[in-house]
Parts: sequence; structure tokens; C-alpha cells
Amino acid sequence: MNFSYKHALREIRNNRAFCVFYLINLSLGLLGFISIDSFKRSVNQQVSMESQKLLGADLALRARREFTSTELEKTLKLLPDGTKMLEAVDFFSMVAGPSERSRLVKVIAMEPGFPFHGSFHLNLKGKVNNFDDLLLHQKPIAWIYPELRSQLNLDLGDQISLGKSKFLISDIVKEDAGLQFQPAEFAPKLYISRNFLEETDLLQEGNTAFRNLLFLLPEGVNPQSMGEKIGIALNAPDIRVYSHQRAGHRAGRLLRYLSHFLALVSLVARFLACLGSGYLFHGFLTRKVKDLAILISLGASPRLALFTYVLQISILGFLAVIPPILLSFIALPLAGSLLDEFLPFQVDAGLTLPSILLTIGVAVLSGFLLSLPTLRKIRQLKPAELFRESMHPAKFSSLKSILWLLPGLGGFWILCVTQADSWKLGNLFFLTFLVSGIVLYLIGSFALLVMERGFHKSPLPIRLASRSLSRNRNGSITSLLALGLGVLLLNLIPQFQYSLESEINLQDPNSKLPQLFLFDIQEEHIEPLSQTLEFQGRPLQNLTPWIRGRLIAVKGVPFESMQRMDREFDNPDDQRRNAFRNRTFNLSYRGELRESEEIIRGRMVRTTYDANGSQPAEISVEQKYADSLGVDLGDQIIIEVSGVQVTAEVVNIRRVRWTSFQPNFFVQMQPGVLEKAPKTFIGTIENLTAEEKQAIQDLLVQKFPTISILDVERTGRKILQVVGQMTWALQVMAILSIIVGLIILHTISREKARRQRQEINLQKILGASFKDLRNLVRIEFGTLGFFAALLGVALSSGASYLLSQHIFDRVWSFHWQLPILMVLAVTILSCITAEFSTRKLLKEKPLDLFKDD
Amino acid sequence: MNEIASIDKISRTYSQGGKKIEVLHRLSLKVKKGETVAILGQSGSGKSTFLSLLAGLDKPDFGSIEIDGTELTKLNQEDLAHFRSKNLGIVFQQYHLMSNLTALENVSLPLELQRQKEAEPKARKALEQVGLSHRLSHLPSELSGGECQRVALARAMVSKPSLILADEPSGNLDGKTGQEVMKLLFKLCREHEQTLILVTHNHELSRLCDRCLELRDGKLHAPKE
Repeated sequence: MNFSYKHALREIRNNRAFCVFYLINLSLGLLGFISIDSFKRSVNQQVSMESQKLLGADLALRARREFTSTELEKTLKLLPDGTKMLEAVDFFSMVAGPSERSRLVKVIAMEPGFPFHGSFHLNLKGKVNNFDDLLLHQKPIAWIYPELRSQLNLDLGDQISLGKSKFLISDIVKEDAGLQFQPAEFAPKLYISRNFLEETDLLQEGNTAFRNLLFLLPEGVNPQSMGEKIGIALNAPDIRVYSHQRAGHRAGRLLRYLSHFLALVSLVARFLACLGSGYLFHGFLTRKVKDLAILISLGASPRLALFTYVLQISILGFLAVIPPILLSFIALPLAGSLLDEFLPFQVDAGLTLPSILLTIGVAVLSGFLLSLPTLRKIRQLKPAELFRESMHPAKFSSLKSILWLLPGLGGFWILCVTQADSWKLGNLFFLTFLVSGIVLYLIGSFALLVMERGFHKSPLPIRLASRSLSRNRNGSITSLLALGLGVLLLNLIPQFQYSLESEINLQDPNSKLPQLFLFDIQEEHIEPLSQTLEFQGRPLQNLTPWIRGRLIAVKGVPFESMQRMDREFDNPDDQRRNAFRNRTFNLSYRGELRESEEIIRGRMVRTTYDANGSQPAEISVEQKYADSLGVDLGDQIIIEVSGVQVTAEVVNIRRVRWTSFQPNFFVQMQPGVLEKAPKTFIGTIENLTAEEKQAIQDLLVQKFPTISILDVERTGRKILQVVGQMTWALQVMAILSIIVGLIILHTISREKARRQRQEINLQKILGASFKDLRNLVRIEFGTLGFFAALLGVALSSGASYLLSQHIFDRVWSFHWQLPILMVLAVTILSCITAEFSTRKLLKEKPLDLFKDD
Repeated sequence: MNEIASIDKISRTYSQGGKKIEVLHRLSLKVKKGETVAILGQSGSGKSTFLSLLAGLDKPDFGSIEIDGTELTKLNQEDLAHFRSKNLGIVFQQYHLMSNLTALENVSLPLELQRQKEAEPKARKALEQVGLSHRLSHLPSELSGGECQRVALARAMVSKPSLILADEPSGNLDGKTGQEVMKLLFKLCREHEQTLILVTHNHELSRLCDRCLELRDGKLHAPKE
């Protein structure tokens, strides 16, 4: 066997304690990494496998309006012979059961043959194979989701009212296929035949219904390129063209965002583990300086001597991947069922080969990159010093050490960007992490300086502990960094959850949130609706007009060319921005601000408009929408409403707190411009008890079947459920980081005690008891844990506040219980860990001082 | 008798606290094959520097060092390492055994570095020669000082180098153990016809060598009696 391998293996065998800790450290860091990476790949793999089933076709066109005959002609002309086509319509509506109770549902009205791919699994009928000849298309019957059955207390054979029609419940859907564009639906689905849709009279002007044309292509035709051709030919940005691949990508996006974010969080644990491993390996190599010199004196070249140690960490890196592989193998299948809110189907997550290979690469390479500064120091070693009394590696300036850390930081940055799958998010995360690390480092260094100078007159144990901390600067700062970042992460995530929960505030009867949100209110219904609600003592509030507009041009650039310029997006950030920038959009008009709005730039729109004047109409644009369109104060956009073009100038940029559930719009126009345009209205009802809410809902469905009602509490709960699952996943990662942090603390305290063995023994000889020394350790590591936790909590609170200002619509509230608990827990855990790791040494007989050199 | 080492006018200067200290000044020495040479000198006289130059662990500022026909100053690190593994055996005052390797593994190391086959049997034999066949699997921490130095002797001799450099081999040992180790060193050198350059400040020990020189003011002189 080659000398290097033989020697590396021998070193592993003979340095078991070091290797075990190195492996535990690295394995824990890799556990999150490999699990999340595999999970991400599993989701992608499965989404692409299930994409035909999700769309129910090879290709689909989707629009919020009917397709024109020209558009249909153009499309059919491009499609090859043998292509099959059918139509399906989906929209939200209210449905009432026999007991007059009602609920919001998502109606899918399908033509015979739907879906082309995938199948339905029904309670009674079992698996449906022939979609052309179903009773559903011959009679007014409906299939419903099981939750609707329980919500409306329905039974098979019961009749439900949908608009002006009645449908018989014939079966319960266990599994369905087709038109699954969304990761999660907020209302249960109800399937009827397209043949009976007109009779419901629900598709009135202004009602939001999607028309879908589904295509089954002959074999060998590429849906993606066919979709692109149709998209170009139609040149209508309000028509979305979906290949099944694109539909799958869309359906999996929520889980993808989550897994990208989780991947970043897993990198924190990975980074901390690297920090611990780096520290361990640095200590190990420092101890091995003499051995390295001996090897060189025996005839090994410096390169060969160092290579044996690089090989050793590479082998250890490789071995460290094995436990995470085994653990992920068991844990990953569970993750799929725990995150089921994020996908329209169950994920069968499992380990993937690319993830295993990537993890091995990361484990082996990170060990090498992190040990570069130490290896560089040792490269400067002079074996001639063997003839002297002691060996020390060359001293490097801090700047040089930082320079040798750069390749490691570079590697971490690459991981951040690739794992987030977003240039912006990856960089933001890397920078946040770097800045937090630097802040912790600076504060830690300052605190150590204060300790060194400030405690020289304090009682002996405190004095000794502060001296020990400040004079072992590297170890102290590494522990502070590891624990501080772990606490930061652990506290940051629940802080968001608390903030969201208190904002949505489901239980508070004094909450300003509306209970019911009414939409699709026709103009002629306003008066009778208001009267009905007044009579019930619960007036209709926040009545707001809802108009559909089309963007014609932005800052003089036609919308078509804006779309064409970035038709394809590689970067997910741009994809998100583009998805936000629809041609058709909702707008309203009013001359005042709501409680949930705030102007951040510009002035309020004027309340009067001179239709005969030359001035453009004034509009207020929501900040994120303005960002996606690239408009600011003074910019002009041309909007078409019902065939009439309106030139409008942006006079203010608005921030909206969307979690208020008040009727808000991306674009608000000044009063006097759109009053005559065709529109529907939205409104809210507040201060309802659960019984009142149900009664009013049932009454409205009976009297105004075309009005849809959203139960805000139910929606809020659904959001919190998703947030809860997200939080759970993030907390697992954060706990992993804390465990890594504690292992680092254990490693450091053990290493520190080992280095100070002589001093400890000397103190014993000088009269220090076991109790004195134990107190010293407790004070030292308790202080370290306390400061790390305090700094972590302070930084996380600051970070959560800043992030809430920029990402979560300024939703922020501080909860003191968790931070206090965390500071206490980390301090106690630090003391216990340090005591556990130094106990043996503290109990050692001081006679050993006379034995060792 | 042929020369094994030819040192010609070597100088070595170190910087210390901004000052330059010339430790060796135009030092020359010729050593014959099989000869045992003792280098005496006070602490700080440059004995260790001289040995590290001979071992190729450091380079002189000026002058040349030729060992067994190879000019050391012209070799790069890789070649120096190769040369050292084949031609030199070094014994240190502090033994310098690898702390995590057993006695047998420590002695096998030079042979493994030369990619020699049957390194273990040869190392076993070398340990037998120094009387440690019963301590093969012991770690240095489990051996006494004298035993450690005997392991170091076995390690220096095992690849049968032509030149042994010994730096105060008995310096860390008590009188009796030191004498035993030195006897063993001379015996082995004679048996294997190896040249020995021994650095010491023990005059008694130096008398056992064929030649005795004193390092003073950066040069080698005949010792003052």
C-alpha cells in the first residue's frame, strides 16, 4: 500500500478520540445538507414524473376569458394532425347543502374525455378509466372532495345548490388529476360536467373563471416547443401556455422555495460543523507539528508529509457521509408526509445518488479548504527545530490567515447560491451570515478585551475564568460564533411564526380582521345585499369596486415587447418577478387610504378628475408591483379597461399590509376615471360570532348565489398550517445547528483542558481543589454560553425586525418568553457540556505533572 | 579510506532582534567512511545548526556540503527528502518518536518511506538488535527514556544509511542508561561500518570517537584539553 494511505489510516486508527469527534461534528453538519438536497431532488424528480397527470394533458392554454375564434384557429393550425382537444373551466363559487349550510368551493367543469392523462379514484366507482362515457356528463351530478362532505354534512345522493342549478352528489373524490397548477388549494374541489355549467348562470361578466383548452398531442411531439410556438403565434400575454413540464414546475414551486430555503438553513449547520471540524483539525495538526518534522527528518518530503494529513481528513470526510446517509435513508420518507400541504400530491422522498455524491464532494473538499490556513502554517515548518527543545509552527499575520480562509469562504458562497437556486437569495443569505459572523466576532473580541482588563480585581475564580477566556481568544470566539449563530437561527424562525400568528390573530374577538370576505358582487346586488346585511345588524363594509384592466404600455414601451424581451428566465428571481407582471390585472379607484395602506413615496391622488383636460389620470401603485413593472413616481402607463385606453401617471408608491385581509389593489386610480367601467365589487363583514358567520353565509348563498364568500378565519388557519409545517422543518434544522454548536463547545473545552493540563495540575499542586477547578470551568463556559445566547437572541430579533420590514409587510411583534428560555437553556447546557468534557482531567492526579514532558 | 562527507567553507547567519548572528563561519570538515567524529561545543556554539545543515534540514548561506558524493546545497526539497531517507540516520536528544505509533511502527517508517518491501520484518530485526523485541507493540508513552532512545537508534539504523548524525543521544538519560545507549550506538555503527558524527558536550564520550573536534566561534578546532 502507498505510504501516504498507510500512514493516514494508521493516524486515524491511533487518534481515535480526535477522529470520533471530527466525524460526529462533520456528520451532524452533513445530515441536514444531504437530507434537504435529496428531498429537493426527489420533489423535482417526482414533479417531472407526475407533470402530465398534474396538467391532465400534454399542453394547455389558460385564460381568464373566453378564447376568440381567431385564437382558436391560430392554435389549431399549429397543432399536428391527431391532436385531441377538450375544454375545462375552473372558478371559485359558493355551494349550499340540503341543510342550507354553504361553503366556498373550487368548481371544475369538464368536458367528456377529461383528463387526458392521470385518472380519478372515487370512493364508490373506484378507478375511473373511461372519461368519455360518464354519467356525470349526462346528468346534473357532482363529485366532491371529502372535506366538503364533512363541512356541509353531505351524504351521497344529497342535492347541492350551485348558482341556479342543483346537482346530485354521486361520488367522493379520493384522487384526481388535471388542472393542478397550484401547490395548495384553499377550497375543496367540486367536479361537474361542462354540459351543465351554463345552467348555473355563474359565468356572468366580471366573474373570475379560467377557461382551459387541454391538448393530447400525438407521440413524438415535444409539448414544450409546441407550447412556445403557440405562445408566439397568439402573442397574447393574458393567455398562459402550459406544457405539462411547466405545469409541474408551477405546482411544485412552493415546496421548491421551501426546500431552497431549508437548504440554506442546512448550510448554517454545515458551516458550524466546518467551524468545529476546522478547529479540531487545527488543534490536531498543531499537536502533530513534531511528528511532521520527524517524518521530514526521516526522509519524507514536506509535500508528502502534509499530504498524509490532507488524505487523513479526506478519508474522514468520506467516512462522515456514512451516518447521514443511513439516517436520511430512514428519515426522508417521513418528511414527504409531514410536508403534504406544499404539493398537490404526496411526495415519496428518498436518497438520491447525485445528493450522495455532492455530499461526499462537499465533505472531502470542505475539510481541505478549512484546514488550508493551518496547512499553510505548517508548510513553513522548519524541521531543523527538532534539534531544539520545542517545536512551533511559523506565526502568520491575521491578514495572511484570512487570505487562506478565502477559498473556504468562496466554496461556502458557491454552495449558498447553488442550494438557494437563486443568485439574489443565495447572496443575501451569504452576506447576512457573513455580517452576523463579523458582528459576533467583533463584539466577542471587544467583550474579551473588556474581560481581560475589567475583571483583574474580581474574586479569584472569576479572574481566572476571564483570563482563561480572553487568552484563549480563538477558542472562545469560535465557540461564541458557533453557539451565537445557532441561537440566532433558532430564535429567528419562531419569531416570524409568532409575528404572523399575532397578526392573523384568529382567536381575538376584538381583532380588526374581517370575518367574511365577499367577492363577485354585481352592481345591481349592492343595494339588496346592503339592506339584507343591515337588517342582520352586520353592515357591509369596505365596499370596493373591482375592475379588470390590461396593460398596454409601460413608460412608452409596449407590454408585448417587455414580455418578449424576457420570455425565458433562467434565474428564479426573474421568474418570480415575471409571474407577478401579468398583462391583465385587478385595479380599483378611491381617493383615500385604508388603515392597511401607507404612502412611502409621492402624494395622495387627487379626488377629482377633468375628463376633458389633457392631464393623465393619477394612480397609486403598490411597491412590489411597481418594482416588477420597473415604474416609479412620474412614470406613465397606459391601461385598457373594456376597450378604452387610459393614460395614467404614477403619483405615489404605496405599501400594503396584505395580512389585514382588507380589499386592497396593486393599482388604485383617482376617482372620476373608471366609475362607468364594467366592474364587480368586493366587501367585508366584521364582528361575527361563529354562529352568526355561518348563518349569514347561508343566507347570502340563498339570496345571492353568484356572490362568493371567503371565510377569512378558515383561510388564515390554512396559511398558519402551511407556516407551521414550514416552521417545523426550519426548527429541525435550527436544533441541528444548536447540537453542532454544543459539540463544538465540548470539543473546545476538551481541547482547551488538554492544552492546559499542566496548568490545571499545577493549580492542584498549588492548592486548588476539584471544586475550585470545577467552578472555574462552570464560570468560564457559562459566561461563554450566556454571551453567545444573548448576542444570538439580540441579533435574531434585529434580523427578524429588519426582514419583516422588507419581506413580511412590517408584521413584527416581540415575544420575550422564548429568548429568555433560550438564553437560560444555552447557558446551562454550556456549563453541563464543559463539565462533562473536562471532568476526567480535573480528577486526574497532579502527580502526572512529574511524569510527562 | 574514502571520504563520506566533505564540508567546505560553510557559513550560516541568523537574524535575532534585528541583529545578525553568524553561527557558522567558513567551516570546513572532511569525514572518512566508517569514521566516528565527535563535535564538542558549549550551548549556543552552533552544534545543532551544524547538524541540521548536514541533515539537509537547513541550507548554508555559503559553502558546500557533499555527502557520499552528493552536493546537498544543490538539491531541491523532494531530492533532499529522498537523499535523507536513503543515506542518513538521525538520532535526537529528545528521541522524537511519533507519539501515536508503536515501537515497531516507528522503526518501520523510514523503510516505508523508501517504499521497501518487508519493512516490518526488517524493523522487527532492528528492534531485536537493540534488545527491544519484547516491546514491539508499545507506544512511546509506555516506554522508559532509555527504551525510547533505543527505538530511535533502531529507527536511525534500520535502512542502513552510510552516515549517522547523533545529537546528544544520552543527554536526556541517566548516567548508566546513557552509557548503555552509547555503547550500543558505537557497536552498531562498527557492525554496519557506518560513519558517525556525534554532537555532545560530554568529553568522556567524545574520547570514544576516532576524532574529536570543538565548535568554537563558528569554526571547528582541536579541543582544548
